[in-house]
Amino acid sequence: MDNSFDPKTDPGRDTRVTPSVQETQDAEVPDRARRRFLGTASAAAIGGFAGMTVPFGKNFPEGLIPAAFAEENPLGDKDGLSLLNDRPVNAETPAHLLDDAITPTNRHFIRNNGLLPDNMDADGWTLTVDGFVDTPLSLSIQDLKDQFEVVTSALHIECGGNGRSAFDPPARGNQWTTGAIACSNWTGVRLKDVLEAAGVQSNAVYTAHYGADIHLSGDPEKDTLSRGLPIERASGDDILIAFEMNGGPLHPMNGAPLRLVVPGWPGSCSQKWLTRIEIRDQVHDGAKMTGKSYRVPAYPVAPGTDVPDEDMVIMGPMPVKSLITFPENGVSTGMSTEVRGHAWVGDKTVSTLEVSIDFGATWQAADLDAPVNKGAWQNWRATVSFPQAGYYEIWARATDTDGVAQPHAIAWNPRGYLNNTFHRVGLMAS
Amino acid sequence: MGCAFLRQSLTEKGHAMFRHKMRAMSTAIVIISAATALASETVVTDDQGRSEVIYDVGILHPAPGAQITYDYCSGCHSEMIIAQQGQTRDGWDDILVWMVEDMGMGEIDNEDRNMILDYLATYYNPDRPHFPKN
Repeated sequence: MDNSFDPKTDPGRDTRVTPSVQETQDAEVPDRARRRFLGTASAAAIGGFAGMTVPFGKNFPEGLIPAAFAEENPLGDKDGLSLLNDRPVNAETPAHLLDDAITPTNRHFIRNNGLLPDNMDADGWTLTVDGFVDTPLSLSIQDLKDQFEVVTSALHIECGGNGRSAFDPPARGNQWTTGAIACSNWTGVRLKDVLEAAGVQSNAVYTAHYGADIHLSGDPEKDTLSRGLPIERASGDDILIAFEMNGGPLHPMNGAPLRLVVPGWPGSCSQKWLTRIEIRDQVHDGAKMTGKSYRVPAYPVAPGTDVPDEDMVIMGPMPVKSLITFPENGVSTGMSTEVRGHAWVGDKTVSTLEVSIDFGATWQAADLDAPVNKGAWQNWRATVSFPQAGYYEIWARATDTDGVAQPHAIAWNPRGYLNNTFHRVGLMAS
Repeated sequence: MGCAFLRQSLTEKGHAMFRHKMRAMSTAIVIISAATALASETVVTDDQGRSEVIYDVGILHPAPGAQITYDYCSGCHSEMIIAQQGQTRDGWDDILVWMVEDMGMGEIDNEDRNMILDYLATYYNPDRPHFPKN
């Protein structure tokens, strides 16, 4: 064995593999985690299973990964995403790969709090609706399709922490830049219709959502994440219990086979691998509902302020925001170019989108589409011309129907949420 | 990753953090531990002249304290989330408290805890000197 691994020169990569099989293995197992397994999994290692017999162990090729432990590339078939974390998997989409009006499944960001469920088969999946309802329900995915109107909508989902990487001082959590946003076509039934069938009682205050993903500690008693919605929001006709994404099955990393899609609210409200919706007579207190999770200070604070938990309030709709998806940051361009992207806001619509080429001194209006349906992001485009060759930045600024615009500076908060500052794209014009 | 578990099983340190059977990882741990005798060793030194042997710390900055940090943390999650952070010592302390109180981590031996906090507060401080570059 070659034991030459030196993390100082090769930080993400373990070279402890038999040289003769390295080439084959690298081709088959592209990610770092699998490479690590390669160095250690061998026929001898198989023999090390405690209490487990491997009848044909002597035939096991040296260096091969036992299939049961062969971790897949954490990004699988996702195309061009930036991997922030491989356990749990979290990955965002570079802005220029979000140029499509409807985000393809393989470019939808991944934000996982735990490990994937052992079983994600649509057959046999059950959704329970209980709590303060007249008729508790237990529904298969086929029941949902048979008993409720099936609708397809373009719905945007943005992680509450999108943009966290720009916080100073840093806020803990995945350091998302701009790519934890997507707007795919989702097919499912309205949460509102299912709640009506169950008969929400008059004392209902909040929903509580539960999923089948596995807590990182492995403790089956712990929920990875269990958040909810005020009952008024849960009654909105734009929220889906979705079983299809862009006309196909849900992606395993995006909640297969069943999930909530709550447009405009922090992505954590859109429970993945959905198994249960409980109606409560009080605000939900599940995993990541309390403390500082998905909460912001009730009042403006200076960056770095240690805010007591009791002054932190649950985040509601996401603020107005926009993204430039063309041109790509850092490219060279001619003396004029088309600029395009998307704009969105929780529970409202975007009324204007402006772009600037002079660091915000002047702004010009872009052509902004209406949302294709309630809860969809809005596509926009403009043509900008440069007065002379040189370096420019395109800035985009969206304003919502209440006249609230994107700010220039971050409203700092302890956990790094709701960064809706301008997106900037640098260009060399000549 | 492998030696982390072997060292824990040898020293019993951090054993309590595995009180919950890790469904996804439990058998993998066995197979890794069985082969850790093959792991390489690297000596790292910090600017105060302290030296330490490390085995496998993933993408963590290789310095004294990296191995014990990796050992305690990577049982449940990737070190990739650690390397993204920029926290003060108090901020890291809060995170360890949260891990133990809410996230199912066992109590951490006090000496180990200080070594981990020293390492994190030095190399993953708010100036983010070792933020991953991808």
